[in-house]
Amino acid sequence: MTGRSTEDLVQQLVRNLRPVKPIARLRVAAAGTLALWIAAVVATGWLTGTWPRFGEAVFWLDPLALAILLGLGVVAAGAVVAALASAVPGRERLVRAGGIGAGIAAVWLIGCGICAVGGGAAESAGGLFAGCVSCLLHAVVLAIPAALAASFYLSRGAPRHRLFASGVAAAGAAGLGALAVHATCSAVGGFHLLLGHCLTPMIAGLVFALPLAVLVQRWSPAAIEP
Amino acid sequence: MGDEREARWRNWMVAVQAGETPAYEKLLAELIPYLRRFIQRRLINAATAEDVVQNVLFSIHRARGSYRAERRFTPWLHAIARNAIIDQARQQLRRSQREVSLEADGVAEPSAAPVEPARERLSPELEGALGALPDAQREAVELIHLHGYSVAEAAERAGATQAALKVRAHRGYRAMRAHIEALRLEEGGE
Repeated sequence: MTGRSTEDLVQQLVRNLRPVKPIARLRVAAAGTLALWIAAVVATGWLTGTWPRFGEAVFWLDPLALAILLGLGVVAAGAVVAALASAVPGRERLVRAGGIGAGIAAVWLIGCGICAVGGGAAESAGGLFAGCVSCLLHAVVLAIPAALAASFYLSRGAPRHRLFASGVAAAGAAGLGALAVHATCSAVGGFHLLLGHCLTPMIAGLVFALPLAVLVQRWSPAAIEP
Repeated sequence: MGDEREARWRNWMVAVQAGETPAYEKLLAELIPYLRRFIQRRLINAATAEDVVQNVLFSIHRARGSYRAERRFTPWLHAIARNAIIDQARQQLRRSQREVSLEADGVAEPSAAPVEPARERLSPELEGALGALPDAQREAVELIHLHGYSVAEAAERAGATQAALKVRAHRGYRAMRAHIEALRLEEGGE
């Protein structure tokens, strides 16, 4: 037992009541996250001169590249939606739907990566893992604004499992970053595609779950004064 | 009646977000008996219901910014209450498993006197989960958890080795947890 009466708790809660701004609509949060990602892609393209290869016919003729693009898109959308929806009690169906979609797409991506490795495409001149790290880091950099936006939304809401929600948000944001990287990168090496493109959301989700959870915690308003 | 209450709670919640304490007092005064009924119907151990009510009130306070006026209030409230109930059930099952584990490892003192069965008041949900177990697992859970026998005593009564009884009890707890979580998910999906 907690040792205090419910009436005491009610009095304490009433004493501690402060005005709060209602959380933004989910669709507004999703649109904001997407807009920040687009801004990051445009800014990076403008600075580095690397733009998506959507204009190149060869990109559209490679079924594996398209399969990876599709997988990254679904992982990103599903994970971002699941993470944002987890901030709002009562939106569990959306969390489940987004999570299931992202999970299936993650398996799809792993399959694509294995196909890429098994396909035996020539690796880049730098070695087996050449360029993997640079693509992964590029994706993470592109993911930062979206990840921060999702974390801010989580801090305004009430996610049940903060660490898990942060990991999903990190995976979703990294999925967006990897999507942009995959569209700009012309490397075809199997290990490069597996590690530098396909696994980026999962790796980022695992690595950045804790830092984002700490950020969410720090940004969250104090629940109650002692 | 329900719609009227829904509208009233929604209006009060909007006022609460604006920091109006009279609305908060009125809202909490109506929510507490409602939550008590909601929680007691679903809780494994009814004795801890008041703790869960308090956890829910605290969660409502902490999450009050996550409510939006254009959405219904009760699904938001139910989601918070369900989460608190699941957390409580998990905590309780973990505690039970730890107690079994301690007894099995010989850490707990064996009971010297014959144990008088001291059954806790079980919720219908827990009774259902217990009833759904295979006979051997149910017997193990009942002997250890409900009747309070040590693993050695329970093994003797069940005519099994201590290791076998420990495994049966552990599997029983896992199956009960899965059963209850599935029920909660079904309720959540309605």
